[in-house]
Amino acid sequence: MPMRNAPLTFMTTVAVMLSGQAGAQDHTGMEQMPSTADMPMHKESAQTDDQQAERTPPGLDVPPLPAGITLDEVFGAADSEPPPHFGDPVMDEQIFGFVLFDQFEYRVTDDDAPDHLGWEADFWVGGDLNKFWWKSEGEAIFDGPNEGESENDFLYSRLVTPFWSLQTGVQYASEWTPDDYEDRWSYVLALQGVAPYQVELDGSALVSEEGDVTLEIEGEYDLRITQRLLLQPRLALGLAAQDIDERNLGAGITSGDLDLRLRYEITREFAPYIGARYHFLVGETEDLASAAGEKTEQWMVLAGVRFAF
Amino acid sequence: MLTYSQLRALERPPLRSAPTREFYLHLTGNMHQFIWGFDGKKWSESDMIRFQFGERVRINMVNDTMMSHPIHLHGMWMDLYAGGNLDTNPRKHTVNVQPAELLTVDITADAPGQWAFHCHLLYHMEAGMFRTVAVVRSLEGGSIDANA
Repeated sequence: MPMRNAPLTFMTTVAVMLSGQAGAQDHTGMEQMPSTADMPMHKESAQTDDQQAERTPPGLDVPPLPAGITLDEVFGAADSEPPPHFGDPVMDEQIFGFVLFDQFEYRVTDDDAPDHLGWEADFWVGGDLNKFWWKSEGEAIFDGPNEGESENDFLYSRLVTPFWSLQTGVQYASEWTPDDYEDRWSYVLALQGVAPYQVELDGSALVSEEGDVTLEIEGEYDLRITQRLLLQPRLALGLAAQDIDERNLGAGITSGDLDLRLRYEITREFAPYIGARYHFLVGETEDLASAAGEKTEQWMVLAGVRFAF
Repeated sequence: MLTYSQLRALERPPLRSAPTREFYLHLTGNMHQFIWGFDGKKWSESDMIRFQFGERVRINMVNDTMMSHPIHLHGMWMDLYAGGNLDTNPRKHTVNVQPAELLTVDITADAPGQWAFHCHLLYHMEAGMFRTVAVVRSLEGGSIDANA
């Protein structure tokens, strides 16, 4: 990597020393010297130096100045901002982007419900503190009628503490069958981050166009069996603040997904996995589904690949 | 296991004296977000660190991060405080500062100009764990914006 520190190396080529200027230094700085009372060992090292008891500036060797440059010019350059045509030594304000498909998998159900393709992906672009974040998740029937559902969150993400980002934006949710398409926009306020013990958490509060308030919480943990083999338990819960008839949701906890995935990281960016999911309905939502004669729980076996670039 | 406290200079190097000024410098950052800097600022947000030509300055580096950082100064030696006296403290151009460690170096500012001072883990350096050190004639006057 080329070191783009031209302004520094330029100055260093004219690095010169002259004892006359150094000798003019007085001792006025000593009154401001911070106390080292809390570090007796450090203080001792300074005091045992009896050879320099006067604390005079050291006698500096004086190499000859390069032709055409005076010491004043060197000090003038040292004490000013670098000229605009000098490049930055480090590029520390770059914009980065990242794509992660945390789930990209085929799910086989334990009954005659159709098998389907599921995904959960994150895309972000931005700097240290501010990012644009797109979260996408959904499922679609792989072999059969064209049915599926998806949720896409488009968020502004701001790092508010070292491990937590506050995110706000909109969600576009859609459900489709061969002869129907329903969609819904919601306002989203999310908190995403890493809790102690490296538990990854993502909580989103949503207010839909109709004013319905729902909450989605996800947590997952990577248990490293080896450096490459990981077992990942994951829990996702849905909550509703009120009954939502058109979505068959009752107030309280509505549904959950309990997942377990075993993945092997061929590289950090490419890791195939196998796993299982237990999908279940809870509370009033479960009662609604039972009354309608629908299933309230389902097991799935899944296989897929987690990849990033 | 050998540690820095066992390092000694065989001969007294030139320009050794007690410090006339000292300051603290915190090594800060975040592994998870890959944000790195000194005193909570990356290079582009920082002002230059100024030394007065001829002074003997002491830097107390405190590593607030969870990683070890090899801190490298261009152009001048860092005399590592290793538990001995000034005669035997070893000269280093790079010092490893361990997590949660306080590490002290003394520097004779004998080289006018602007110099690089950075973590030598180059990914950290590129992320901003870098400061410009300006060796100037006088510390009077305003600070210097490193990223003008």
